[in-house]
Amino acid sequence: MNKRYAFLMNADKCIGCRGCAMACKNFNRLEPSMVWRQVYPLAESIYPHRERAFYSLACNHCDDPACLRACPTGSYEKREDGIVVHHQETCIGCTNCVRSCPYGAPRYNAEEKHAEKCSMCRERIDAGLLPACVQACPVGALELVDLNTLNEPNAVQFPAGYPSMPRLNPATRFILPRMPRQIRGQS
Amino acid sequence: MQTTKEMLMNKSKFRRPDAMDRRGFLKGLLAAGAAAALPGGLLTARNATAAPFDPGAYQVFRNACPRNCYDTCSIKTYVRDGIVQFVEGAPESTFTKGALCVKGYTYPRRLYSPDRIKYPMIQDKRGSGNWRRISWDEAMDRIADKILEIKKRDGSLLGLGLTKYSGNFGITNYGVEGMMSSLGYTTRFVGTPCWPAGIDAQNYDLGDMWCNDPEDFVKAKYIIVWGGNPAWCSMHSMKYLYQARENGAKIVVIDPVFTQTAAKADMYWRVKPGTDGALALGMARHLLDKGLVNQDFVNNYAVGYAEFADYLRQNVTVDWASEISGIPAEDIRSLAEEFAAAKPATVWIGYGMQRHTNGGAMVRAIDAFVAMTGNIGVEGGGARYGQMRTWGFNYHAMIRKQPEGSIGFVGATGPKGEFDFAGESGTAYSDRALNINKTAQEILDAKDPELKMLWVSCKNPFAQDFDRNKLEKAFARLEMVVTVDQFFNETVQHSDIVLPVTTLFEEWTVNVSYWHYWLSLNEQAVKPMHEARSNIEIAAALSRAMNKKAPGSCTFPQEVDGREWMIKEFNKGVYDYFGISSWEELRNGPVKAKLSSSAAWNERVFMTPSGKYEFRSDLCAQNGFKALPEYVPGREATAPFRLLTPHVQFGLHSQFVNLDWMENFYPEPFVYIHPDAAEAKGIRDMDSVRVFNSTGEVKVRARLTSNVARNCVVMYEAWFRRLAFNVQNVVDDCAADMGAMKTGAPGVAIHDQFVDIAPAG
Amino acid sequence: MTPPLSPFSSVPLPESVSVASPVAPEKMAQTLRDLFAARNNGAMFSALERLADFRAAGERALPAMPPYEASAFREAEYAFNRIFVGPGHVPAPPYASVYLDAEPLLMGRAAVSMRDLFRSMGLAVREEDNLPEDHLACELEAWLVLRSLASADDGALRRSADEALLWLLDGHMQIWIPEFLSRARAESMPEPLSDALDCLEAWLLSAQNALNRE
Repeated sequence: MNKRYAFLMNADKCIGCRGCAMACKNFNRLEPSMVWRQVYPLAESIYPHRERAFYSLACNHCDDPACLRACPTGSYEKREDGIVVHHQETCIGCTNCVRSCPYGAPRYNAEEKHAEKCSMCRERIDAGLLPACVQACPVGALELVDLNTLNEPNAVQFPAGYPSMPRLNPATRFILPRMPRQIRGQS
Repeated sequence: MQTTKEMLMNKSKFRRPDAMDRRGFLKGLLAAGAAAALPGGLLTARNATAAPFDPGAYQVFRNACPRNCYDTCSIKTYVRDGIVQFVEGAPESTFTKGALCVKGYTYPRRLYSPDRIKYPMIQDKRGSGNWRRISWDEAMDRIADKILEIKKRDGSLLGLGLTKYSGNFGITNYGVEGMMSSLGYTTRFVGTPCWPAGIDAQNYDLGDMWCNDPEDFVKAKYIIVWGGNPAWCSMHSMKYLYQARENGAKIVVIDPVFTQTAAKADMYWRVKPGTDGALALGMARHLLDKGLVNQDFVNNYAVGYAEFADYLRQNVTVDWASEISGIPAEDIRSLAEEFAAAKPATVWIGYGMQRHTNGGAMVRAIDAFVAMTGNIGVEGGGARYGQMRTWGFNYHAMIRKQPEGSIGFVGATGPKGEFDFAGESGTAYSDRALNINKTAQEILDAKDPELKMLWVSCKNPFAQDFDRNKLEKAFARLEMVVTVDQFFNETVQHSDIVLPVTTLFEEWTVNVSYWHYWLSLNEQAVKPMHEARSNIEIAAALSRAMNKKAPGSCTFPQEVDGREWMIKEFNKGVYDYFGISSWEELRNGPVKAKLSSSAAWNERVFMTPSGKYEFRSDLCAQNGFKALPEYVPGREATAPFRLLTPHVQFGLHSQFVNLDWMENFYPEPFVYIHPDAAEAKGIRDMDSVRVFNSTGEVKVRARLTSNVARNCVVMYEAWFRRLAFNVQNVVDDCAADMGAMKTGAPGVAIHDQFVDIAPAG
Repeated sequence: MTPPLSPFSSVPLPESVSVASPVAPEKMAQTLRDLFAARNNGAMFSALERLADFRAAGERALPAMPPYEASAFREAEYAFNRIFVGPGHVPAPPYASVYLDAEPLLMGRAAVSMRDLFRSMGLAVREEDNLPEDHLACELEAWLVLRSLASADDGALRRSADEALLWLLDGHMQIWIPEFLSRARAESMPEPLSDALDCLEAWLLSAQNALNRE
């Protein structure tokens, strides 16, 4: 059976350190203004403490990628293992993909005049290595998993604050953050 | 030619026409005999091909992050064409485990930043911004002339001062201290703004600061993280806390701020700042009342327990502790019971704890609570603060002899420091020690002789020393300031001469941590950019200039080889401790100390005068404190809000936040204030505000959050290259209680600061 | 009259290569190179003076001008360092990588390709200068060397040098130097320095014209 690679984003473990996002820039040598992975603090309506719980998001490597359908030059490729690859060399920078992705994964690089996005470090996966972001997570909050064999009963596909797009069927799975019991001494 | 040109035209939409095929002419030039060597492979556009990543296409070097951080990561550096391409964590270290942190991944930006200090430069009139480039020789001539002039004027070199701390903990960088010694007896700023009160506290209780291997958190069944935020400041430790929880441990965080670590805990206690000692004593009293004291430990491995128990009975109740700390009495009782029942249980005393006027006393109270439960010397247990057991190097670069006939300071034992390994010299003279935590005042007060010249290295006083306004006045007194640095910060701005120093990729050294037990080699991965030199090369250059002008005036070797000097730091003790036979084994990756137990004090033989754990420390009493770990109240408030200025995960003191990649993630500092307090002050989210007190003022935008208490505001310390933000504008130099015994000066009460806040007009 | 090969130590040029007597663009390039490679104010002032002489002599069709004020050179030195050298943030770093590469860093692809070019000519940056190969002074030097090779007897060498010149100008210097100039000119600076930048622009134009004529 084929693999279907995905990111498992464990928001219970995530400490919002941004190491994943910086490791992505470091390995892929992104321009200062470009990010392929970003760490988003959850709104206080979802997690009541400001900037204390996060989703680390990059491309979700959808089953039926909107970017791929929107691209007029065939610059997107869906690999058998689920990874959605963008080919910068044929991209004409029309930004159809940027506008069609509900998760904001492809971004327009104004300097280079093309779109770009996370490729799940396929060149690393193909060499038997982990994606740079996964390797960089110091707490195991970001994992590379195979959805076809994933056995994680707490994993959810569409947590609060993350657009629910069943037709695209994004591969990313989430584990929700905990809330500690609190004793707040009064001043 | 026309076709090439056409190709260029077609390529013009790309920003990198540079990547066009140059194969033709390069070969042509070569074939015609004008060339010596075939250049390496040509470049392709990023992502043009889908070839698997090939680590073999790089030269890999071993580096280590030398910053003042628990985690001291082991780094693998990937180099191609003599250029650092990217970095990653060393997988060989189970502590680093392949992952750096958000700061570590920016290192290539530091190396190749166009804004690095590139050459020795001199400023015509300090603060004018009128800089001239000078050669290393000229810089060293000017510095040597000034040193010799001071020596002639004063008859000693006590007018020459050094301020250096934690900007680079690579062992060979102690060559800066060595350089000063090699010139004569000088003035040193001693002590540390960080952890001294806790070091002395643990020395009184245990005889040394020594903590369990942090990797043994996984053995704990109960973990209290007390006054620390490892999710930001030791993120590699978090995986062990998580694993402990998966093994059934409970994690409790006690902190005035609902930190990122608190959000990951099972339970969070918001304690009133500076009352942690009362809380620990209240829990201790409850252990006593409930008969939960480990009698074996207090009777057989400790002294003074009976007196301490008397003190608790007579002076401490749980209700009293509750009243002072703000934590309900029933919670204090249940936590004490849970902690005593869990075996093993441990407290991680964070470095927020000791930054108070009663910081040392608080650490002693927590030590006592842990000791009463018998968790000292136990794997997975312990009162953890830090360790220096892995630091047994030769300090070859540091230990230098003064020139014959040097005159120095009479009547004191000379400077100390937790990283000072020189020991007592037994000579008639010593260096003059000034308190690093009162840098500004000490410069202003220094007499006979006055401080005339300051050498700054591995430190940014204008970002880290206290009472910035006073520091400005103090620097105005100095006749010459030389700063060794990589970026143009406020201290460089206040200097006469700036010297460019190497980054970790450009020098040889060796690194260890004060927390984990790994040893890392730091190889020179690329040749230094521009005219950057390492601290020991700078010392050698100064020695050449000094000896040319006045033979014998400096004992530092005039030529050094960074690799040789790195090797000279090793000895049999280090090799045995880490189980290696040569430093070259470190080229295969970092190694961990061969510990007989993951627990500190596992033999329960303590280094105190009694050889036992000392609930009653006469040494502590001799030094002017209470013999018992009694309650000491904190500093009185002088303004409506307590100000906390802890570390942020995006920077380490004044480093990293200035780099362009980091600006992506952390573009702007804030003051964090409780929504109720903000409302009372008429402050809305993201409003510009003034944070002020009698020391000074900071202008910053406000962020409203109940993560902080109503009477508390938080600003994270950092240096932003484009912003005037500086928390030291409102932090004074009030001393902590302890620290003088082991580090030469008491710590500083960074978290006992008070401010008012108002909308910016 | 062989152009002095500072800032590079070099394998000497082949005997067969005769170097044309310097014409204005060569002289200008040498002087601009000396300015940007200056390690102290002596070298810098001397380069600024020579650039001023070019203007005084009306070369490169720039208007002749009155002599500078005495203090102007010192002010020019401060401004030069503020804009190009440091120790503070430099608004216009004189390195091609900063402009040509995706990332505004040193030692990018532009530096590697310049290093390749130098290696192919048997040249390397002098150890004591330790300039990245895409530093403006090095690129001007590369242009000078290629110009000298472009009049070589050896036809194959000549053709390669021509192609390399085309790459260096069209594919490299013509792209980044204008951006470099506009960033630099956004800063305030005294006359000798703004005149020097005018010289750089004039040189770029004349070098391009020379290329277009051939």
